[in-house]
Amino acid sequence: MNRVDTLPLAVPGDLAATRRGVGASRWSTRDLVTIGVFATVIKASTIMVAYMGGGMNPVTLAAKNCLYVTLMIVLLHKVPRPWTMTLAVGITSLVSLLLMGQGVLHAPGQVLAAFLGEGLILWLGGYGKTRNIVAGVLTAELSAKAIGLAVSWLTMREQPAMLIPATIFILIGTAGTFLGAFAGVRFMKELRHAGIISD
Amino acid sequence: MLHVESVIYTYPHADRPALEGIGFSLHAGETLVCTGRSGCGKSTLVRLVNGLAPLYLGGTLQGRVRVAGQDTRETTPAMLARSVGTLFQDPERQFFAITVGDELAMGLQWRGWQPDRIERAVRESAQRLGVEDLLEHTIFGLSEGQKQKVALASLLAAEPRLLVLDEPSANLDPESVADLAATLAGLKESGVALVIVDHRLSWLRGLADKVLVLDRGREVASGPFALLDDAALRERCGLRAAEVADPRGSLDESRPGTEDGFFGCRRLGFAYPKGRAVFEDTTLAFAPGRIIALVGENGAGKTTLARLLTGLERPRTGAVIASGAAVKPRALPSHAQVVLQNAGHQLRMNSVEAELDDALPPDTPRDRRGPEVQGCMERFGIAHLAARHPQSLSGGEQQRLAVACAAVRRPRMLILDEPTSGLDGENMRRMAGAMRNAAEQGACLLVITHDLELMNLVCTEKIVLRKAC
Amino acid sequence: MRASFLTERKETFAAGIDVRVKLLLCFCGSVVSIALSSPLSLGFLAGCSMLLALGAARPLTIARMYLFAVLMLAFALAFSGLISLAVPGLMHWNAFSLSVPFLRILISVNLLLMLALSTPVQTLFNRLQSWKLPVWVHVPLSVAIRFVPSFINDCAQIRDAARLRPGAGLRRFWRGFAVPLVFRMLYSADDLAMAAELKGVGSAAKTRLSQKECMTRRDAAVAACTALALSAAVLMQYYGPQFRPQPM
Repeated sequence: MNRVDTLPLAVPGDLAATRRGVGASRWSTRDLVTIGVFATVIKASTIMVAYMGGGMNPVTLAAKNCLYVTLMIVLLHKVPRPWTMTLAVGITSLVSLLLMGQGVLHAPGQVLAAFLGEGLILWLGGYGKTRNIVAGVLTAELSAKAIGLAVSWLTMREQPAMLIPATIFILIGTAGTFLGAFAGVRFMKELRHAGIISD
Repeated sequence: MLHVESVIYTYPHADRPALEGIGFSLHAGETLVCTGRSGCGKSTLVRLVNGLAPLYLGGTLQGRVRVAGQDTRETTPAMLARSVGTLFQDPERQFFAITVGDELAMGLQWRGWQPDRIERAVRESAQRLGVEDLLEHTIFGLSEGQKQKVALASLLAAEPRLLVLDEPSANLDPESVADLAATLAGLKESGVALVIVDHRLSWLRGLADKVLVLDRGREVASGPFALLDDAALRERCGLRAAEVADPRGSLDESRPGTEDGFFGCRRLGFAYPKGRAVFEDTTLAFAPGRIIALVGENGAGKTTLARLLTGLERPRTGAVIASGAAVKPRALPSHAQVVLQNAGHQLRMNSVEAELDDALPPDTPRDRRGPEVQGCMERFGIAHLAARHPQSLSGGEQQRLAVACAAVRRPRMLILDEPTSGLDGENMRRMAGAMRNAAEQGACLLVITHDLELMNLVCTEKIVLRKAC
Repeated sequence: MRASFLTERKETFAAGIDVRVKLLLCFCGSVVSIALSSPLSLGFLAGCSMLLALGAARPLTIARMYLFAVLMLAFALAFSGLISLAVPGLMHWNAFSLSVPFLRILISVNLLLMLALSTPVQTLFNRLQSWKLPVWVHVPLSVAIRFVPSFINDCAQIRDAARLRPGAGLRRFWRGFAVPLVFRMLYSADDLAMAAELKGVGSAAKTRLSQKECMTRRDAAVAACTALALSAAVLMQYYGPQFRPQPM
């Protein structure tokens, strides 16, 4: 679609209240639609990256995690309010379960991890600062990995050694998670330069 | 039906108003056409009328906009939508459901209509627009004309009294535009008021009761359609022509068959998997300096040809030729470039200058890069945008940048897919100038376009594609 | 994983089961299989779940998915085996310790195949309209499902644009793919949000947008059989032959 007029995409003035971490009473349609769009893109793009590189390729895993964290940081700047990350992760899990048949046991753990991440953001002072958002996203991601490993241990507890390759790959993939944090911060600067996200 | 009184509207974070001192009235069955160069405030007017501004988009509004007696400052867009339906430029981007029938029903469901009333409304509105056979069809894969009819049908199902159409002709071929004009004439006759915002003017002559010309957010002229016949006004305000001749019949057909080796295709054959053949034994030869219009009905293979010539598709038989030799698809981008319809997809750097530098061939000497980029920016009239982020540019600027990025690689063949869709007259003429410039530099240009005005300005010949039987 | 996003497939047995029942089946089956550790119970559940999977897709499709899962497991096994050469005693090479994790994974794969391959997106979308979900779940979930084909289309266009310009490696991926994609996504979200606002989407706190779809006899039968199967598996765990890992 051609954007003939340059229209600002920044959200209107009730942003200030949500950035202080005060829970807004109702989700706006714009917020819910944005979360839905991001949920699709987060899930589908990370799957595409994984397929392109092969499922057990640690470099691909790192790239997938990098993309995931970057997109989540962008989402939390676009919809900077409590429960955004939890809702996005929940929707992503439902989408991947219903459409791609993945993660029926991992989903609750991921939602819990997102909840922990949101708690940290609020504890640090809310969604007004990029560093709070980055800390929250990293916490959520790392917690999700740990919970995922725990679920895998339950599955393979008779043969725990089989967890070792998975653990090694996850550790290598975690490098991508931290890289995603840097990429996310840099990308936010670019989005501000483009006028897509306002300060 | 619609009263706009002394409106001054400023977007959030903007230094100056987007609209200033605008006022008009519209009654049932009347049509207002609003036009002006890019950035004049037309889309802002649309958002004021449908209520997105100020309640949804924020900003400050002075003056008053009343739609069917409701003040837009006090009525949510969803409530206003019961009286006013909005058709955006790209309907697919606004479809919410997966099938046509569900799309028609969706808005009514959210309004709490009873299922039998919804079913009746969907059936009637689908029949009115001639899309009743598409109700079970998915929204993907519809033609542009069909998408627009589906979008209109979904609006009409809610029985609005005012319709606002934002650039409805931008993606349509001339036949579909004529179809749309007939549909709107019927709606007008049934008492629906219409506000049509568009750059293309010629198709509106029989519809418009009033015309409003905007420039930099202010009204510069208003009156009957005849005022657009003033060439000085159109020039001053960057407008398109009020009357456009169709050159498709009069353009000479590009002579096929003679291979001078510059660029072309030899005995090209192609079919999509499980599809019918699109090309069978097709041979074309292009010469430098020509600007050729690629015309043909929907599904004839215009976009497919562009993809084959640039290596995005692999032919089943035959080959693409450059300098007399067959070229593998992978190597084609260095000989031929295509500028796709969606300019935003092709822009990836964080400034206009960096974008052009990135587009240069990798073997360009370092000391030549700066002058090449600067020269290209000046030729395309985007030097003043050098530090801007490409994604922050207007649609017209993005399109020019995308064409510049293709041209800076100095390809033999430059293929442009709808390069002036949605552009005002000034930008369209600027694009035409840039195209002539590229042709003078030695490229052959192949233009896929529905824009008859552009065709009149730059195209010297045509290639007609017909559906392979 | 899905062969086709929109195509309505021939009506299979599993396609006729309500999505909610399928979800419950998946969840219960996975939880119970994690809790159980008897090869007999798990083998029984693997057989039952395989029947469900076969009721959702052709045997060849199932076989391909199994092959992928077996390859992944074989890789993990080989890797662990290599490590156990250096750290003896790490791996337990006995039938019990090798079969139980494999059976759990097999059950999980079967249930997920049944869910993913038997629910066309249009059906899912329609079902969503009939569930009384809170708006803050319904809207983003509908958007997410609806947006997948648009996203795939955008990716294809961005990929084509990237092919037309030189570039290699990570930079090409980031600048050529990720950056245009995110911008496209942000604009699409705004366009869709404006359209949603005008359609009144989200204007009700809870909504059922079409007639409530009732459970059918098939759903009841499947739910009952599932409950029986799970109960039988639990009974086999506690009253069946006890398996203990035999030392090598």
